[in-house]
Amino acid sequence: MRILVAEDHGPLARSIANGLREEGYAVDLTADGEEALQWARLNPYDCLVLDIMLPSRDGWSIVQQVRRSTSNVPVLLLTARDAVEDRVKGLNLGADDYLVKPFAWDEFLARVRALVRRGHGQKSTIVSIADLEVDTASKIVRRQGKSITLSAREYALLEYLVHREGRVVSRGEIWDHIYDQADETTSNVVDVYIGYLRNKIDRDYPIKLIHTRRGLGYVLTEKP
Amino acid sequence: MTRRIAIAILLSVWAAILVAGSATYLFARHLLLDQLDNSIKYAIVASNPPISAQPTGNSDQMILGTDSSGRTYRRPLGREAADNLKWKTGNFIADGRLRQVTFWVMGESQTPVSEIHGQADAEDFHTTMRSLALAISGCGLAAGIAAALVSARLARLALRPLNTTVEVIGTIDESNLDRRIEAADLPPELRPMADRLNEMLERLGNAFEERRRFLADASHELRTPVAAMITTMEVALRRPRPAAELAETLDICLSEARHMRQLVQALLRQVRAEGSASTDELLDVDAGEMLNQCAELAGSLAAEKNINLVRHVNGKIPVHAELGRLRSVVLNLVSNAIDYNTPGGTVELSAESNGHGTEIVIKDNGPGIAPEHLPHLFEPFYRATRARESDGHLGLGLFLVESHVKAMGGECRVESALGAGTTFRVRLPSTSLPSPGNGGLSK
Repeated sequence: MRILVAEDHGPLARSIANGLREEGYAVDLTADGEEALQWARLNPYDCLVLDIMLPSRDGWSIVQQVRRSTSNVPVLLLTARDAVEDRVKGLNLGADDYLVKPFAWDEFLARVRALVRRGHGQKSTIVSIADLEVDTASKIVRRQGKSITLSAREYALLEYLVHREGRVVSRGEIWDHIYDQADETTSNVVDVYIGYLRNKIDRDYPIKLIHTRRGLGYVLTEKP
Repeated sequence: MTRRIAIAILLSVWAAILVAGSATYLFARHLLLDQLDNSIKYAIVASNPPISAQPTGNSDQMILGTDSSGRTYRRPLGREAADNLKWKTGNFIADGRLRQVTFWVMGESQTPVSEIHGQADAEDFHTTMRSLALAISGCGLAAGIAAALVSARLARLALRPLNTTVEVIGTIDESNLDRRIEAADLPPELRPMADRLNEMLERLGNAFEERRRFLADASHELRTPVAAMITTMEVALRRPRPAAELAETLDICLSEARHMRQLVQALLRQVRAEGSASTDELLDVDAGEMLNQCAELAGSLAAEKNINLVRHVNGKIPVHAELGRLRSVVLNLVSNAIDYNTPGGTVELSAESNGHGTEIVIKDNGPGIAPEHLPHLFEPFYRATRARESDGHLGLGLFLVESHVKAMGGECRVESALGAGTTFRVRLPSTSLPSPGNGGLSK
């Protein structure tokens, strides 16, 4: 899952980015409003986390512009102002949620998770496909009730495939959602991670879930 | 108010009626008495029969009297007969029941020759006078009370618009300072009062709004470092980490905490600066030495940044100010000028005094300030550059400067153009005596 964080207070921005990366998210970080808008238009983010008071373009204006380009990417506004009119303004302009600074990290993560889920059209935190069960809140993955340990990146890849269940996703798409701009890797690394994931998810079980569509990409589905 | 007006009207109506009534009474009494006395006179004339056998054949003559030599005086009777009687005295006798009048009988040469008395019943006269007195005092009493009631009613009517005004004022508190008194509904005499009250509400409203915005901005400024600290620590605590990484976390939190301490101190300074300087703090002093001290203090900062700090402070610089506040103003402006200047630049500190006041000028040849920022420069937390963390400036310095200068009855101005440097001018009264706008402005 790839997230754009636009926050101009350096220490806060870095902590948010580090915290999200440790949760397996790919994070792009910017301190500038105009840059945030450019990136939001360029990259397929799963969620935007925007501070309202940003240099060169404020969070409200970014939401407005992003919504104008008919993008449905979920937006979480961060604000140090808790006046009702400020919150209402953000929601009216098309933001999906807001959080007043300072916030509890767990709450922040929960809201980001909920927004990402909603962005992919899922309501429950637990997604089941055949005998595979993915709990996006606790990040626990089970197959036939047995818990499977995944690395952060593997989990991120699985979660993305699960959110896109039954749809073919290209390497490029996967790469876009799993890696941030700072990553120097190429989309070939996706094949490597697909291999790791197959080892842990599919190898020991009769029903194979991850399938290769030659020339197109990958699909996670129970019916090949 | 209404009662006082009513009582005043009542008393003045009564006083007026007392005077007018007494005059009327006395005049009427005089007239009636005159009439009564005249009737007595005519009765005398009528009761003296004419002497019929007289050689002159004039039968219509009356005997006026006989003098000591036995000579009889006669006067013709008729219309002029009464004219021969002249009123001498008149008084009431028999407990006032009778009026007795004594007339002089006038001789031919219009000299009194004898007296003649006449009496008449005075009961009617007294009855009439009593009725008159009763009527006058009764009417006066009633008129006074009526006037008092009417005036009380009128006063209440006139003051009624004040009641609505009072009700409006009664409902105003800090939450609805935008309410106004409808001056158009008031009688013209009360409109200036409503206008002044509305102006006062306007000023109060603005002051409250400014305060509210300042508080909102201040809390915004404080929340951001708090958020950074909380998030940094929460993220750090989510899993075990090596000591080096934790030390880095502590470093971040420490610098955030220091930033907050700076902010809190600046806010406290601001609160103190905003109170207007009391008159005993403002003294006629020479600022020259203080300016030189400021220049020396800022000198090391300037040297560090390779800035040439020039001062033109010659002789006495008389100001009516509080030196502590003024020092804070000058230090703030000078260190700003140094901070925002480019290495190798120049900062000039000069002061000049004339009859109107003293002007302290801080001039730099730095990059200058874009025109769109100039009007907001003295607003709290306003930063021309949005880089919040990089320069360590809180956005409160110039706000503090202006608060200090205003509190001392002076004014602060800035001139700047991109590439042409910036000049700050602080104008202060030079003495306490001819300082128009000193006391009033700072309040």
